[in-house]
Amino acid sequence: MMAGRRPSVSFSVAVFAVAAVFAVLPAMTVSYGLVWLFLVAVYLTLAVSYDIVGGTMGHMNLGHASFFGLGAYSTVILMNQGLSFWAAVALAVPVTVLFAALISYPFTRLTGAYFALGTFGLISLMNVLAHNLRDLTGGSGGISTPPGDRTVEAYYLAVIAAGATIALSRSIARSRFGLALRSIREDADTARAFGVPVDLYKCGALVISSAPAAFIGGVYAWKATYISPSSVFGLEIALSPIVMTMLGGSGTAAGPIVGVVFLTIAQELLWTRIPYLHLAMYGVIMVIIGLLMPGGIVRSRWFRRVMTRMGMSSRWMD
Amino acid sequence: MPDRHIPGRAVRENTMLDVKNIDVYYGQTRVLEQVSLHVAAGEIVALLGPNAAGKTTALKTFQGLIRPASGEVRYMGRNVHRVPPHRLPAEGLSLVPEERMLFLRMTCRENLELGAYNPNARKVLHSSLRWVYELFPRLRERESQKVADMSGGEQQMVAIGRALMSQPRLLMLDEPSLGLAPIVVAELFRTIREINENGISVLLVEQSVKQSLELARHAYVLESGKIVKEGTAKDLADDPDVRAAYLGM
Repeated sequence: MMAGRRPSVSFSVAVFAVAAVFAVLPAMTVSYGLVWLFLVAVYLTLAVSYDIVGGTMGHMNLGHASFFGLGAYSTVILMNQGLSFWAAVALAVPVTVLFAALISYPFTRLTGAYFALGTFGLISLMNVLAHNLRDLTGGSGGISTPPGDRTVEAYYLAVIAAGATIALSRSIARSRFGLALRSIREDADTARAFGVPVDLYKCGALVISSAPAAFIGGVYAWKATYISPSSVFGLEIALSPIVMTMLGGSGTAAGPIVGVVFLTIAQELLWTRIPYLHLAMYGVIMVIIGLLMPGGIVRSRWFRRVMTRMGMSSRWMD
Repeated sequence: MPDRHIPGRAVRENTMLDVKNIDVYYGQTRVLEQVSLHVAAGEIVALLGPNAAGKTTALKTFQGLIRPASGEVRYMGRNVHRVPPHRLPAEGLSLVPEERMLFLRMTCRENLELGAYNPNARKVLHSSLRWVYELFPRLRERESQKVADMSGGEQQMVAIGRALMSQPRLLMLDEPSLGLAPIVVAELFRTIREINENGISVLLVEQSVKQSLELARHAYVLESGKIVKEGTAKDLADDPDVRAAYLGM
């Protein structure tokens, strides 16, 4: 087997230390910090699960948020039927996965810009459905869960979901399945010629990536206690994780993580420190990164140099 | 070579590829006319000819990607146009296309591993990999390098190595010498001989006639879609027309 496939001791220690910090944070920080970290974890889960299809397989799925929204709506609707959160989310995830399996057949026939546009249309479709199936979704007014403060529990769940999604995406990237997905990204016809079941694997990747998004959608709705079409099918939640992934470095292990952390910190600093034009400055930062580091932060030379010096394996940056 | 001591007729009965009278059209244009060709187990056959003679079209037809208007292509006794094209690599028919079709942003090693994706090849992945690295020691050195960053000669090695990983019985090479320096071509042709000595039949499509005739046992000359000459490589090398047209003598 390939050398270095077993995680090193220092890697395990680092994972443990990060986990310990996240575990004790609620006891130390104010709820504002917790809510912010919760959102970072939500974005992380979405970005990393998006990148299984968007980066590893190279199919830009602009409709990834439709899984998030469907998970959120299913969870809230089921909770209002009297189910506990756990029962609701345990049903919402399979419902979303089934939906992903159904749409995967027509959508994975598309490639390149057509796949991106087609999946983007999926969000509009969900938006229209959420507005018009009023009995189910409450229409444009949105829908509420039974009330409650779940900040700390939701924080833990989101952090665990983000960690699990990263682990899932890593294990896929190192597997034969991941090798096949990368070959589909490079040249689907040649991959098929060497025996890769291209259509099946494309559907498989989409279905797998839908599960973390659906789960985190359920957690988000549970914590927010209220969702509306614009909060879960809006452009913000649809495009932010994708933009963050691309600026961090799509198709690399560290890319989505670096992108989410960097851009959420930048966003936070800008709108707390700069009263005017913070959104414009946020836009300028994204444009500058895009211009100077076209492959994402992680693929830039200085980032590689700094990280290699800190002992990070180049596996995370490829 | 396993068939070295077997008389020619006996070899003919052990057929890898048998092409009978195929006609291929692109729209109204006839690209191949009554092409017949034969590759016996364990031999190297060269298909020679100038640009636009129809060599690549012929290979694509042999691989089942283009359907002939008439005639048939049999690989190990089976009509290739009745088998889905993606199944043929698993049956041991492997093509190294002219454009190489490598996975450029993946490493050399990943390209090779992908070559062994079909279930038969997967079982022997490690021994195939060892063999490919023996044939092309350079690829072991370049194992974790991105193919896009490798030289043209190295990329050709990856393309051939990847095809070998799929456990081929018949390896079809479309102009492997294209764009390579003469010294690299000489090395490549030596390796093709070595591959053949391991029992893999080779169909070599080439423009560099002299070297191909030294390597092959049988050869065909394709011009404007028709086979104009065929015979043993030695006979063709002595043929006055071939010498005048291709060897500059």
